[in-house]
Amino acid sequence: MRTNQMRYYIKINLLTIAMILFCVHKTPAHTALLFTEDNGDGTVYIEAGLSTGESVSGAKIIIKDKTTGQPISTFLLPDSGKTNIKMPDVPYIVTLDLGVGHIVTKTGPFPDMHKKTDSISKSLPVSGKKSKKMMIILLSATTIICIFVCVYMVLKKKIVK
Amino acid sequence: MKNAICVLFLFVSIVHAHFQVIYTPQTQTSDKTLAIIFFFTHPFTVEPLLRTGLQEDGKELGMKDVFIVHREKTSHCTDLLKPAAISTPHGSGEAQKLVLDQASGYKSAGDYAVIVVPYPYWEVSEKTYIQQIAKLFVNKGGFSTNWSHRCAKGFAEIVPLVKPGEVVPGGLVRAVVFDAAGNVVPYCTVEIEIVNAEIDMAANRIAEIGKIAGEKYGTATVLTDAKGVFEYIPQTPGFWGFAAIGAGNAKTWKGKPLEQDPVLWIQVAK
Repeated sequence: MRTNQMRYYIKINLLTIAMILFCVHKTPAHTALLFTEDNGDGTVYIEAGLSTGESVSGAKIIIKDKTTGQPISTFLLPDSGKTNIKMPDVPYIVTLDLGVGHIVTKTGPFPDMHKKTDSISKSLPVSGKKSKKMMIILLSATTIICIFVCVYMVLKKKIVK
Repeated sequence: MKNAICVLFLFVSIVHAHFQVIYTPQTQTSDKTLAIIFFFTHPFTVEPLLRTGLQEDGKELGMKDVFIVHREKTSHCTDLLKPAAISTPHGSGEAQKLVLDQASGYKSAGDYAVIVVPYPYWEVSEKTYIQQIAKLFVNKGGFSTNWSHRCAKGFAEIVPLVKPGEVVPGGLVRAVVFDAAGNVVPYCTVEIEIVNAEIDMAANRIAEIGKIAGEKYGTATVLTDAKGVFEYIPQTPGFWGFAAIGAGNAKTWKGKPLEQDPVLWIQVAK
């Protein structure tokens, strides 16, 4: 009887947890949105908001160099939730930071993006080769160290005997 | 027997409704420009395109007004319309094209209500003028701004009660019909049709009629309830038109009966 009761309570608890998880999954009602567009005159239009249509005045925007990750600028949006900025000289990413769970990052529009992307993608095989060499060196070093440790352990046991 | 079959086919062809179509390939977009095409036809069969604003005397008045409503701001675009000869499997006809960009007000993110007001069309078989004030929402960048608002103030209008960009096959379309004065229109007939064709805007071609084989899956008629609300569940992806027949307040044009219908277009996503 008690076992049946236990099973019943476990089922109820599991059902409750599942419902909570479902509700949590369904709550992104306030999804943060970030919109960027090349104005075609050396400036970029940035707009932030919530999916519900609410504005996000004072939202923090961070612009970073796409290649190095170095910050280029950080500023707060005006009450309208939109602004125009001078386009950075290098490919960049734009981050909208509205706090935990509401951070959106996207690549900013950049006219020479394709050229830059090509140059980056062309450089990838080189860095790929470098990383392969590094991997081989690391593996070799680890193997040698392991062999040394094993030999040392065997010799130590023999000496003890 | 042959006569009976002819009468039957005549009846079948008559039951398709007129629709002022507003079409763009993607209503959910982040593109900098928006290309739209307008034409007047029976969208399920896409018979030869009808002449927009055709008068009883044969004159063609075309579009009276085309405007965009975005965040309560209205921009008139009638001057930007460009005529385009469109080929269809039933012959060619004339449509109107519109391209919006930053300069014409298509800049910030959110809902853009594209609204067309053609001059009334003389339907000779019904001895009636038909004027359809049609509306399509295009969303730029995913921001919800004004899809649930009245956008065509001064005209009869269908206002969606579900987000237009989120309807999928088997999902619910729910909307309310208003007359020009802003009163709900109870027990109004709402005719529903899908654009049963592929529209190639670049090639100015409407092709592949028969995307949906069964008429039951591509056309329907429902009534609004006492609060002016109607519901429909489209089963197929594509462009669905909802026309509230005679919901407009104007009842005559040039001394002849006028049927003024607000139309709402919804792209049901794949």
